[in-house]
This record gives sequence, structure tokens and C-alpha cells, in this order.
Amino acid sequence: MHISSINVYDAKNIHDVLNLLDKEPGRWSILAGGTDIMVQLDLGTWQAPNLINIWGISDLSGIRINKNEIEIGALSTFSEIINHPIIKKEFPMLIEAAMLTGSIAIQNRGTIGGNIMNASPAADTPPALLAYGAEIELTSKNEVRRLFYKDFHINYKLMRINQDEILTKIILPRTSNKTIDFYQKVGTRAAHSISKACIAVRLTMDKKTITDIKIGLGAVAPMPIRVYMTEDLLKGNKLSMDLIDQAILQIASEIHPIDDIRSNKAYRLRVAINLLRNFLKGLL
Amino acid sequence: MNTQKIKIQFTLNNQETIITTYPMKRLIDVLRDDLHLTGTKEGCGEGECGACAVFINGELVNSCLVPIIQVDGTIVSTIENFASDFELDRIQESFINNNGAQCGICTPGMILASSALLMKNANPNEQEIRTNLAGNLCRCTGYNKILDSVKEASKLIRKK
Repeated sequence: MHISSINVYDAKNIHDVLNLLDKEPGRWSILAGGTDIMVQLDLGTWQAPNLINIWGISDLSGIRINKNEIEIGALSTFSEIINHPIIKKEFPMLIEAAMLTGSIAIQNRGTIGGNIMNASPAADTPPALLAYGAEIELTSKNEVRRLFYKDFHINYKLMRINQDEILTKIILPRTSNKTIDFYQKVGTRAAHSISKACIAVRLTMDKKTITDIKIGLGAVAPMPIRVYMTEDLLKGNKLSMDLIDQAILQIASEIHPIDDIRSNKAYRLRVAINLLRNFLKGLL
Repeated sequence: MNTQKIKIQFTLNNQETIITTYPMKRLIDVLRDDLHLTGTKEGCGEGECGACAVFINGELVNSCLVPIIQVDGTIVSTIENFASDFELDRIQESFINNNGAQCGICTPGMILASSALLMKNANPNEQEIRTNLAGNLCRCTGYNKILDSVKEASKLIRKK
């Protein structure tokens, strides 16, 4: 679609956005930092003719620290997240993921809400959000609702969001427990590459027993996923080589990587297994 | 059906600029085609190479990924803003001294990314330079001379 056919509504505040989505649900797409849409527009693959420009709407940006949770405005850029000292301290995997997303010029423009809504299975921040048990806030003219992020993606680019809703916040639950985080992305090069496979784990341990664990994965399924059966197998059990072997078998059956331009099924499966195994072995 | 062109007003290299165009026109196309500022280069056109880097409100961005509607009311600075009529910027000088440019396509972006780094960290180590230039691809000079250029620029900046 050529730029001369793209109609843009320049929203001044969140009410503008919600009113328009309420009046004409399904007609409008959201333009945030533009780092995905502009690429598709230039390639000629962008098909939606009506955009609402939300860039610069202050209601949608900003990071708020509450007692039990951190609220990240959907329009927060990766750079804003990277430079936030409390997120850095309590949610280091999100920082790492944001620093691995594109380059600095992309991080200055790309937003966490856009990263979620673009719904690439290979995006870098979703595995971290899944491992942290994040929630998201969806807002329509008549309702503000919260959803666990783990329940948001249903299939490839298919999400539990209504046509009159917009993603407004990402919420991270704070904890005072001693936690262990592990994040690793495997790409073609260290910087500025798209993931072949990515894993994020947060767990708590009591002596050598795993008391809680969440495992988020990217680029190994049609969407970012948790591997609940692998988590259940590990939870409540004492870490041993035998347990790790069982977990590896379980995760291999729980993920569904594909062949594409960046990698292939067999390699992705092997990498996902190795990432989990190496991490758990390091805890023995 | 054609959409309406809109009026966009912004500060470009310290000059008030007004342009009427399609809202989704890329900033790089406005700079190069409409305003004839061809110092900003287009490499990949998809945010991978950093050749089209400019500053918007002091932040490094890829101008191929910014629709002009998002430029309204902002302050934009391009490579043309670096040298005065009489004097080169110290980063430009360092790139010349160290042969940090060969074909020159990546150079404006490299200089802007270096400037973004040196503004927040005047004395970066090699790893920090590499990390901060990771979004800028060069296909001919090789990166060592570019690293040398940034290191010298860092020295020149700290001297003054």
C-alpha cells in the first residue's frame, strides 16, 4: 500500500483513541514507534489503510513504581526501560531483552507495547515478561481490564484483544523472595539480530529444591510461550541430573519450532534444550 | 483514494521548517527529496544499517523508520549540522585522520551514533564503542579504523 493511501488520525490523548476505536471498531490500526510498520510500508506488505498515531501521548507512557508492582506504559521505549534503575535491579531480564532488541536507534523509538502487539514469535521481551508473570492492561471506552500476559497470545499473531481495545500497560509483580533469573538469546550475531531461539527463566530455590519456576520461550512456537508441563515437572523437586534429563525430554515435546529463513526446526530444538540444560546444570 | 497532505512544522538544523506532505512519508525522503539535504544516506531502508541516522529531540533514530507526522513539533539535527562554515566537528576530523571513511555511505550514521555515545560517555572503552555502533553497518572500511576514529574523537573532546 502506498503512503498516499494511508489515512492517519493524529490522536492527542487516550480519550481520542478510545472514542475512535469505540465508534469504528476494527477499522483502525495503532501506530506507535513505527519501527515495524514503517518497514512493512516500505516493503509494500502493509495493508491497513487507517492508522491512529499514538506517538507522544503522555497518558500511555511513563513507568510507575507501586508497592507490589511496576506499571510500564505501553508507549515506553526500550531505552526508557533500559535506563530505569528499579527495573534494572528487580527485572534484569527485561533490561537484557530490551538491550538485545534492534540497535540503539531502534531502542530509542520502539515501544514495549508495540513489541507485544506486533506479536512476532521471535520478539525479545515477551519471554522475559512471561518468566516474570507479567500482566497487561487492555482499555476500551467502557472498560479497563487486566489479563495475565501468558494468556494473551493464542496463536500466530492472534491475541485476546477486542477491536475496541488498546494495550495500555504492562504490569510486573514485585517480589521480595530471592530469585534466580536466566535469559539467553541465540541469534546470528551478538547485536541487532533476530532470535533463532530465546529463553527466559525465573525460579526460586530452597536449598536444592525448586520451589517456583516460570519458563518463557521465543522463536520455538507460533507465539511466545510458557512451557507449563516442564515447569510442573521441575517444581517442588530436588534438582538432580536425573530431573534435568526429564525436564529436557519434556521441553522437547512441549515446543514446536519451525524451519524458516533464520534457522531450522532441528537446530532450534537442540538450542532450546541446551539452554535449559546448561542453566539448570549450573544450579546443581 | 488519496489521503490528505498535512502541514508539518519542525526545527531542522536550527531552522524553522514547514512542509506539506503525506503523513506517512519517511523522514529520510523529506530530508533528501523535499529539502535536498542529501548528507543523510539510505542503506537498507529497514532499520538494520543505521546509515540514515539523525537526531530527533537529541535522540538517535533511523530516519527511514520515522513517519513525518511524528516529526511535527520536534527538533531534528542531521549530519549537515555538524560542521560550521569554517570548521569540522571533532568527530568528523577524527574520521578523516584515521581513514574511518571509505565509500562514505555509512559515515554520516557512524558519526551521529558516535556523537550520541560521546555525549553520554566522553570516555568509552572499546566494548562500549562496539556496542553503541552495533546498529551501524560498514561494508568497506572495516570497523577497526572506525573504532580508532571514535577513540581519537573521545580524546579530542576530553581535551577541550
